[in-house]
Amino acid sequence: MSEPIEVKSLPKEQLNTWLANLNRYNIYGPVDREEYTEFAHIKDPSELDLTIRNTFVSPKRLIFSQTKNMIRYDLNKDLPEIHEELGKDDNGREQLLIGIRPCDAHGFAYLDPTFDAEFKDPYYLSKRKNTTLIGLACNVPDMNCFCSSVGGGPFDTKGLDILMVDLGSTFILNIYTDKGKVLVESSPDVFTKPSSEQLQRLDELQATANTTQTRKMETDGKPEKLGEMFESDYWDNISKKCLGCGICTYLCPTCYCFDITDEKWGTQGVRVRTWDSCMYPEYTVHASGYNPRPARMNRLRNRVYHKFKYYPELYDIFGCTGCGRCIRHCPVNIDIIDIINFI
Amino acid sequence: MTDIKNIVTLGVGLMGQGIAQVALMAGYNVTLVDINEELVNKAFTSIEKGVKKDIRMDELEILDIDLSFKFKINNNEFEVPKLEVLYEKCLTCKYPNPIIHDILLADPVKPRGKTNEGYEKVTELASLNTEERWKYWAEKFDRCIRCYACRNICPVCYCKECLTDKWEPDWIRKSVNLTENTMFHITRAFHLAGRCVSCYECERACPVGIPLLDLYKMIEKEILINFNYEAGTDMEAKSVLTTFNPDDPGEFIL
Repeated sequence: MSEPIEVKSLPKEQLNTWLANLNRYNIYGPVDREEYTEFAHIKDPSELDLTIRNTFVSPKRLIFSQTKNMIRYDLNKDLPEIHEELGKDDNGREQLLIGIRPCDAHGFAYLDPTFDAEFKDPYYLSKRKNTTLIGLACNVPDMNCFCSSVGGGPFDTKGLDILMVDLGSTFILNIYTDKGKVLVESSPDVFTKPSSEQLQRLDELQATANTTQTRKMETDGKPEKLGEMFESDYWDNISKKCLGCGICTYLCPTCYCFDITDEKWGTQGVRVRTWDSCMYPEYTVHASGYNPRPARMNRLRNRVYHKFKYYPELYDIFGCTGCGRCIRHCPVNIDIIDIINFI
Repeated sequence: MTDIKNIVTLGVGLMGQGIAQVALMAGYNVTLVDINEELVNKAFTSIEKGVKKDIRMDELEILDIDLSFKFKINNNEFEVPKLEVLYEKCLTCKYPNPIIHDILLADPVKPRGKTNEGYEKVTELASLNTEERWKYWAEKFDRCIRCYACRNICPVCYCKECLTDKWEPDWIRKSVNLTENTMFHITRAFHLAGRCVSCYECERACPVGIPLLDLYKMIEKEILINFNYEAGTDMEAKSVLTTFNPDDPGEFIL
């Protein structure tokens, strides 16, 4: 955990008061939908469930939408009309994500270099700029979590404006950015100064969290190793059971591939950007019908290579935050930790 | 049982710890849950100690008794109700023995637990008014991420090119929203009419918990009532919706 610019204590019964004072934001947080959890728009603080660890789908979708209208057009005019759709979906309101777990916030730190490179992506960047992230440390990581192996940790603060730690009856808030500071300054009465016992408890919790994360991914030297085994039978073997569905990529907090399509109704239409998945054959098929990644083996291999070779070579960061979703939700138990540890 | 990899113990007092330890040593991934975090940590330590005593696997016996499994380990016995460890689909499965086979390995098994046809939920859903039913489905379809795991895991989906992947015409658009998602799920449900064998794999694979069988079971029930046809149970029977019989019910048919 890096050094915060400010540390506050928030008694749990004051949480709703604080959130009520933040009503200029669209607030999103984890919500329980009976056997399904999601990061949803919080209209009433009672909907918020901060005991939920990783929601099924990562909150990536709140900044990098699965479906984003880019332009709307009408050709049935003397002069064809084109309307820009950027920024039309949030009414100019800033958004606040509360209870985001460190791995998911780490995901945004991963996406930034892609969308904020030579080509600035206005859709991603405007949302990113308009979003404040209040993280929640994982006192008890899930059994398939492995954030500590890939440059994160259950109390990691990358990408976060504030990190909250649950001490039972109180939250300790570590504030890291000016964006975070503004949130706390909105309600000076609800916060107190944390006691030294509380801070000690926080350290203990962090130490316990680190030791209870039992699954480990061995990443040392793996990008180089991958470079030597592109043609190995290994990829054939591990991909035999792959279904070729999009679960691993669509739940992932770091996958960012998209497709652009025109959806038409007569003379009118919308140019829409939607998530795409490298696990689908259509992802690489050429107009000629030729597909350079014809089999599931090629596609699964590409997913592993992108996350553990190509991306780290480009940006010096693994394309994985250890959130465990692709392991937890794969219907055929393909396990990215096992894959990387084996090679 | 072979499908189960993960076991969660709710409440880790003495009993819960024991169950967790037995399950752990039988090779399952075990998660401990309790309202008290300290209890979890304590249980963790004591289970670790227990496991380290190196109790050998061959001293573990698992008995399949009617509605539960009995674990015997070192003269200790634990009973776990099947409802807690088996998929709903296994509990309602009408045909646990392969209907069509050349050789059956091992003895036939009895249907587990409940032996109903699994139509209670769809009957209940059908009794709701249109608005209530739409509310139920709109919330479910809205969360679909169109990963197509349901389609890809399906043993009866056989199209070389799924209509969801067609560009011209784009029957189902790429936009992921309630309209397009509903179109996808209703289309798939109709394509499975008279084909779905209730294996529940789509529901198991779905990463966002959409109760897909609530759709397919409704159609299955209608087909059973109207045509006395059950998909996958008779090799000689002709597919119900691709054949015409003058005696078929339905006055609208000439």
